[in-house]
Amino acid sequence: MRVCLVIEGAYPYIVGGVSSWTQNMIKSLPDIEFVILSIMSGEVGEFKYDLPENVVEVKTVFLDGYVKFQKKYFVSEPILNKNDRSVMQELLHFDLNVDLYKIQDIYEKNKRIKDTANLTRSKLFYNSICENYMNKYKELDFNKFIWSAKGMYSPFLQMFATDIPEADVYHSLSAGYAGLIAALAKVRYGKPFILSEHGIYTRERQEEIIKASWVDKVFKIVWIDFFNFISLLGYKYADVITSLFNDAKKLQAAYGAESKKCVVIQNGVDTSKFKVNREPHETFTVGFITRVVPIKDVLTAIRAFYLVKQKDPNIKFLIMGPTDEDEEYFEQCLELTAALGLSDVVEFMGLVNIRNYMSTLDVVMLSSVSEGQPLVLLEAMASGIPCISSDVGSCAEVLGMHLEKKDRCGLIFEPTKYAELAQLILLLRQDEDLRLRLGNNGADRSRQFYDYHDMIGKYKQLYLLFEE
Amino acid sequence: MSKRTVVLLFMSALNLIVFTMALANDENLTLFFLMHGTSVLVFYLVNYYYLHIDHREYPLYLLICFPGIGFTLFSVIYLTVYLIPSRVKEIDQITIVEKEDDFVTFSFLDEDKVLTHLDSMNYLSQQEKLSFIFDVLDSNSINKARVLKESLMGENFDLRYYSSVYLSSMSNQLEGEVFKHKREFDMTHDYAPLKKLLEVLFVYIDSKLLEEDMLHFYNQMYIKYLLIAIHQELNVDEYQKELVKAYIRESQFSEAEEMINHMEVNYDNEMLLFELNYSMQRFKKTKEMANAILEKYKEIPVKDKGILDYWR
Repeated sequence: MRVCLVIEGAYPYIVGGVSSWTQNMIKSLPDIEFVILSIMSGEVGEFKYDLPENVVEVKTVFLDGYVKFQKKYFVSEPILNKNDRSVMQELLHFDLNVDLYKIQDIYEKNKRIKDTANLTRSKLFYNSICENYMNKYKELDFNKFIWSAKGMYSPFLQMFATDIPEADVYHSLSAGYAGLIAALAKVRYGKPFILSEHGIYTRERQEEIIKASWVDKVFKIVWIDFFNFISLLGYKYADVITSLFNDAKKLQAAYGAESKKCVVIQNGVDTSKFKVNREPHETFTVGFITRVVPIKDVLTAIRAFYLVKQKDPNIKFLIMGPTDEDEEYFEQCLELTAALGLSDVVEFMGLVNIRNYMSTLDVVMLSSVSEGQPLVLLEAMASGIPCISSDVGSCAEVLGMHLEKKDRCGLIFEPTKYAELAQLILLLRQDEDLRLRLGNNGADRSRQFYDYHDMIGKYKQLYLLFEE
Repeated sequence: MSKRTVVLLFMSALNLIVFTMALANDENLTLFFLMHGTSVLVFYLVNYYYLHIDHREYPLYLLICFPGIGFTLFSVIYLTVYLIPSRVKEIDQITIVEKEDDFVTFSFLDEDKVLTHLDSMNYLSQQEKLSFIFDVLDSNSINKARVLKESLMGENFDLRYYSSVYLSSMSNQLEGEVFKHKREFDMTHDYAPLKKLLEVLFVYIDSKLLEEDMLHFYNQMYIKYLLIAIHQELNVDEYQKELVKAYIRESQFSEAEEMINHMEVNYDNEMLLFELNYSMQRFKKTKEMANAILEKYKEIPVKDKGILDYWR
């Protein structure tokens, strides 16, 4: 059986939660052949992972691949009949009723349309964008709108002309472009399509666009509409949509996914690999296992460390994870650490094998402002380490905050509230019994509810279900 | 079934539909009327067909045609159990705040606005929420961080997400700017980066994003660079005023008093001195002194009385 995993901005080029998850899943299903379709933009470096033997092909699709076509001086208007034009107009109007099967037909029979420049410089495109403008965005500057639209549509339309490897099942690991390509594969080859979301793509893009400086304020809503549209296309054509926890499932439904297609498959960890014997150590150590990027809100953690140090200077903080993804942010973290006089207690360790450190950590913490179901919490729990986490994604659920106090595995604080985080660190520092209880509960809970083999079994079941 | 019964049934059904439609936005009331109407009809039919009791008397007419009786009862219970206690709670909160402040009576209009707006967030569509976030982020309101912090405490899953992301982003941006200008000034000792640094520090300290020792850290940084600016005789009036405020925030009252005394010699802006003195007494919680200053305020010529720049 051959499964095509469609992944945007992650495996095998970028290290992170989704990438590690992908690597582990591929390794755990040696009977299945995997084709990786990785969607990237700009320069990509080398693979960051050793590909398992059952990966038979890696194909990289570039979102900015259309640029080479844009340089063409002469373009040829695609010749389309009236029906085809109306179908293409639906697509260009972000109309969810658009039929991808008909679009596929158009792309199959019309070679010119496969060249994005031919389409984005055609009358059809211009007229459709004008109609879009008149219907929805009349208050915007037209000149800017049309250029903005070209930038928006070009990578999108390029996806329709992409060669997609053949497989028995298409599994996209997010909505958005990955979901769109998997939907196109389903239409092209008539194979099933599973859409899995670790975060919620629509909302992540919204957040990115609201903060982005590269988009004019007035155009932000246009970009948000666009990303909503491509995510919904994925939802519409997916046979099954998975999420990591119940709130995420509800959110998918709220964004327009059909509830009956949505299922929850929780993350899991191989608990046997995380059974550790605690090593005696002198300094109380707090571990923060994370990529150093804004969404993980490392600065909030550093502010909390400062408050903790004022009360108890004898605590060490290890920030473990890659620092090269957002160098400017990493610089800011280093600067704040130095300015607050924390250089002696805070250590940025870069990418490390966290299993080597679990035995010396007294607490594992997380201060993210956005999470799905973080693996680091599950791993820390499996290692019997008490956790502190911001109340985002399914962190509260993972730590059993809905249970009675005696059964919980960690402590929760409101995101960005570093004073609360500092208090919780000090509380765990002072109360050894509490640490022990939370740690033991975590080990039990991870074995009971977040077992890796359960999770893999469910995905395998899904693949086999469609094979039949 | 007699004509009268048919009419009664028809009217009761009509009543039900009208009430249900009118209150369709409130699930509790809709459910109540459906249950109420259904039980009345079942009760009537059971009586009529099985027990052979003919209820075509006046009380039955009331029972069937006036679910208003049920409505009145329901309203009384609803008001007693939900609305009145929540109202009382709101009044309590305001009273407590008033008690805490012995000196002036504040208008709570701003607070009301914030709460009302946030409450309404739960009923907004995705698009409207986004517009709200755009508005909040683009505004220069000092309530910006507060609005987001309030929404962080709420139960709306989406809103909590947006709030945490933007609160974090606001802190990071301001902190980034502080360090950028600080670096520039430390290297060049020019006025331009110093001015920018003081502006950003003012905004950051004022933003309600800082807590506990972090506020202390940035206040001390602010004081340090204000002293440098004053020493270089740059925009002295404004920076001295800011310095007094920073000293007061840090409870460095002797330094604040020293600076006010210095200002009394050099400036004749009575209103400014009044404001600073009054702020300090409020922070020190010395009610008599504060009231004495308020008395003195009455003596200030009307032309100098501007709108009070409330202590942040």
